[in-house]
Amino acid sequence: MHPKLAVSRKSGEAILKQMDAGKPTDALRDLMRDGD
Amino acid sequence: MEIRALRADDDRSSFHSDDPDLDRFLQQFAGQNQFKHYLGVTYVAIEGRAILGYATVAPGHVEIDTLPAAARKKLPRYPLPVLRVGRLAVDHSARGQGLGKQLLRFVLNLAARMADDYGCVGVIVDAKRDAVDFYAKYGSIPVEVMEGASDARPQPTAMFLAMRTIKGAVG
Repeated sequence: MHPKLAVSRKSGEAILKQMDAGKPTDALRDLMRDGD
Repeated sequence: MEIRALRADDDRSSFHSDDPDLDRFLQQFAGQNQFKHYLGVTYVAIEGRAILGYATVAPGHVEIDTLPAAARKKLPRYPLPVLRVGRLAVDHSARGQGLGKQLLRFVLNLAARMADDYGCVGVIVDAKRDAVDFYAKYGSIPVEVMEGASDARPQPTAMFLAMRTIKGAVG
């Protein structure tokens, strides 16, 4: 794996948006709370 | 079954997923990458001496091509630290038992500890074509890679999941 990943501006904006206001999906909540 | 870092004496020869590339990586490269070159760590789901699944991770960073001015004001101008998940595979004998989900949860918790210890804004997975929906279900978004894409063929889709989202799921 290359340690550096350069992404397009459009993808960068999507990343920043999720970093700023991302909300977990129900599936992610279930995954992280399922302590098996 | 436990998930732990690969050990040098683990028997990797009997692992068989349905993907020869993923099998070959575990059998031939995971050990030297981890124990000789320190390029990344492979975590194995193991029962007895049998490896039932694995995930390989390494730290990385994301750089955004021509970051928009508005975003530039909010964030420092240096690269964004992430945990990269290069490979995740389950042995065919363990299919349908939720092992892929357990490995993913393990990796996301690993990233959360990384965030607490020395910074990590999210997780980037290199998703094979048939795994894109799996990661999307958990909120990962596909990103267009300009540099640093996986060498694997067919080329996987890089997908990002923000630490904020991961932490929000933990509650």
